[in-house]
Amino acid sequence: MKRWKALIKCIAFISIFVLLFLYVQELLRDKWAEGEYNVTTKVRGFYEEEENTLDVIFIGSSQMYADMAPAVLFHEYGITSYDFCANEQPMWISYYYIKEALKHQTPKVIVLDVFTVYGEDYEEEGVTHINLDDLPMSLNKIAAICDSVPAGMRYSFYFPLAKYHNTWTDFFEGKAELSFYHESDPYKGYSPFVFAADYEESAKPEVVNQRESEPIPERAGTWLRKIIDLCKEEGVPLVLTKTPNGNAERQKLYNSVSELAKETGTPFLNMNVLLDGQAHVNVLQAEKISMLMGEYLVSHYEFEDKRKDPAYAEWVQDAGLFYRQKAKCQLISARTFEEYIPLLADEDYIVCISAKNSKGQPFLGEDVNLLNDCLNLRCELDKNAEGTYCAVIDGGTVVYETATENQKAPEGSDEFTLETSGLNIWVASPGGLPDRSAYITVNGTDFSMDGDGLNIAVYDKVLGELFEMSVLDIGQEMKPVRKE
Amino acid sequence: MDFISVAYLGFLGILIVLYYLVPKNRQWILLLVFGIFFYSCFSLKMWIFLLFTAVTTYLYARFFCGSGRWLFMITAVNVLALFLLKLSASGLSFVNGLGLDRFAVLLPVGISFYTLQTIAYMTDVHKGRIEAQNNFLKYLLFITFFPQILQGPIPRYEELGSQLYEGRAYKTENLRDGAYLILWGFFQKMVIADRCNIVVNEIFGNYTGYDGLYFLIGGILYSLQLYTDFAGCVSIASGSAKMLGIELTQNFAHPYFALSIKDFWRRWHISLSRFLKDYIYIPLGGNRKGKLRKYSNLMLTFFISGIWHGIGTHFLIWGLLHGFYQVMGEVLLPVKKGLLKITGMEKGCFAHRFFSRLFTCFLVMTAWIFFRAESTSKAVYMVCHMFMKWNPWILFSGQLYALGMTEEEWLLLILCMILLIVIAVLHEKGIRIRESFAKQPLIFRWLILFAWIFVILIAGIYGPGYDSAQFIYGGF
Repeated sequence: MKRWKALIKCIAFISIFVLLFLYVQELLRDKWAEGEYNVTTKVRGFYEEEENTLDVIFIGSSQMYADMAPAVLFHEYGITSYDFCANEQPMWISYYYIKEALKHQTPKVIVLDVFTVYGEDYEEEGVTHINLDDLPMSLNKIAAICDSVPAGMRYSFYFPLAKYHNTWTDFFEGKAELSFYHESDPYKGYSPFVFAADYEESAKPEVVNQRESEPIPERAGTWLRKIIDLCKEEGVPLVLTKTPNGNAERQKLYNSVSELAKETGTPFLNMNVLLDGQAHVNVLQAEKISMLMGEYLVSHYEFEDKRKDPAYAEWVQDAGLFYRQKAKCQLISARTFEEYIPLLADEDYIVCISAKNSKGQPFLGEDVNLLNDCLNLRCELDKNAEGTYCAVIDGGTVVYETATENQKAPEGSDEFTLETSGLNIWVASPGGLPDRSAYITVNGTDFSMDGDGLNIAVYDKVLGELFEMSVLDIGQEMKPVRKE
Repeated sequence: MDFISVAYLGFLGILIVLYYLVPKNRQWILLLVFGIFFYSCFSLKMWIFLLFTAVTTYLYARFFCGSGRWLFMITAVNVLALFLLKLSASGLSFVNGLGLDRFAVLLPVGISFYTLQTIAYMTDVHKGRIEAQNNFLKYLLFITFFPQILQGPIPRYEELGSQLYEGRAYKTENLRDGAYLILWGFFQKMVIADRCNIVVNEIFGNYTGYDGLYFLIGGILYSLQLYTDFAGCVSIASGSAKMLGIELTQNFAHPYFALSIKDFWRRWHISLSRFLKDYIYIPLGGNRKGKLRKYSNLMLTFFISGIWHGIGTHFLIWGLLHGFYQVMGEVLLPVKKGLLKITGMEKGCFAHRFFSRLFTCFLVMTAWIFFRAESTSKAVYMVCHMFMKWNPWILFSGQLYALGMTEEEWLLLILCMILLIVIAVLHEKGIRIRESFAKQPLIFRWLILFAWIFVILIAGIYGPGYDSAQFIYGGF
């Protein structure tokens, strides 16, 4: 009896220890859930997708998840897809990602980005952690660890507490909140990179004309062949691709991939020679790349259009987020007054305007007319250049507009506070008074550039963020000027 | 296989299960097999030296035990082997010049400890204090008993031998107490010693960039590191043995609570102190042949202690400093008494004990600086510059955080020091913490145990990039 009691105590102690250990380990583990490189969101999100609902699974590195927007494929072609990718993912980890993907989904096509065919040896420890830590424990994960990590380091992948325990000194609330993260990713693994960039209509000549080949390193080559074999065994068509990165040197490797693809009878869509790009393209270029991929997929494989299927109603909503990011990217990429103003007439924006003209420069009538026409305003700054002017447009409706002649402005008439769409906005215009500032304060934070011209702040109601602060500079033909 | 590893815990776990499953009269064979496996994990080459020592000392005890000449010769050969191997690993330029450095890789793990252990065994057999062990394999087990072979404690045959050969029945209390000791060892080594090591390495490694209080902090932290590192290892060893029902000799008794240097050596590395006293100091004449002879015996004993720890002038100076401290302690006894009279302090009162402890700690810490520094000139520089600059503001200006530990880690270290002091005070008062703890309700014990385990797992220094093999005394 005494021995049984001791045994039960022992089992209870070990069980509690294991549970506590797993809890603490998850609590202290680094998570990548913010910004564009939010691998935790992507990988954990993949497991939250309903089983057997994805038509296409994209596998690869960050170049894949920055370039391939499942929202575009759904919006344009009714294809459901997911970027099941992680930073600098080597081929030997892609292999296990595909195995994991096939455990949960029955895709019609798997698309593999071949960016990391340069892999000769184990990846850096940190990169491998980013790739493997968010995968749930399984035989695939154990095999992935064995194939991706030197023997002496593997324990810290099986038990990440060994790696992350010393993060207790900078433990923060956010880290705890992100523990046991199980939420679907509305971007379906895609990361919107929002920045202004100029891309050529097609790939750069030095990339297109690259005829040389560089042999694929043995390790990456072996695993690429294993991936091809795996997809054949599983009966899932595999498409190799390279998203455009504009790298002529790396094109030598992709030429070798092309040869390997021919040899194995695997399709290879090398977009690097078709479109201009960079390591991580912006949302606007990602849309083009995704369209090209979509065209290729629908012309080679058969998909059921799911756009009208009520079971995929959430996909419609999620896809909308991509187009909000696109609108955001278009706005911050606009370089002239004529390009800029029409983009402000967006029903999901709240636009705040405050005029300042400390040097008394004239506003052009045509500019003011464009402003009034696009945004339904009644601005008369062309007639009263040094007057004050403030406006707030919420979803295309002018919710407040005020203007006075500067010198005669009654107390308080050059500023106002209002509540719209849950935001507390205070706008103040100094007009021609040189010693006063323009203010656009949203929920207590000033977003005004306080420049001469029209100070603009734009809030996107869907994304829930104030993303644009600019001044349409009266001294520079009303061009939008932003903070560096 | 190092103590701080999952492999060691697995090894110990398997041994414990098998140990209590086999008949008691066969348990020693299991211990021998596991001991051989444990030692072989370090290097097979090291067996040459261990077997040489084992065979020569066994043969002496078995067949030549009446002969003083043979005792001297076998002792001399083993000590010479130890000295030469230590010399080859010392990194001294003349050693490298002679090409002896190529033998450094052969320095067997635990050689310093088992050489003393076997010398003590031979001497005791020679003096008729113990019977020689007839069975060579049992004798080999006495030497290779895995918990103590790395860093001691240096066992006496009469204390350990019978425990190894008699066999032990299963007792839950032994497993429990052993586990507590192992956990305490992990805590001391991983949370305290290796954390101190960060700052100590920085200060000792870049000593020209620091001065004043930095050296005092470096000295204090090294004193703490050395104690918790060594005591941690011994605690793991004792815990491992305890789980097998075997008691190892006590090696520490809160040495930094010592009231004098003499008292310090009763509390620090007790098994070595006993060896030095019983096999060197007393045979030299001890205190029986006049004061001058006593002082020279003391100096010689500590000189040997210095060499035992390592070849290098800084080790010698460290040993001689301790000898000097003890001699001065006796010579200046009248001055000490006079001071007590002037200050009106009663001997044994709190203030007297407090200042005595503080002063002893300071002397020990200063000597440790010689022990840790790679050269005498570096140690002299550090000790001198400790007093040459007054910069207490580094304690409050955040400059300490530039030494490699964050604010949170400093706070943790201070809490650990407080914990060590509290435990030491309780022990000094005769309170047996383990026994008191065992009497507490299960839920309380488990709460404390889980908290303790997770403090080690979270705040311990380990993981990728950490070399757990660096137990300081493992290098001696």
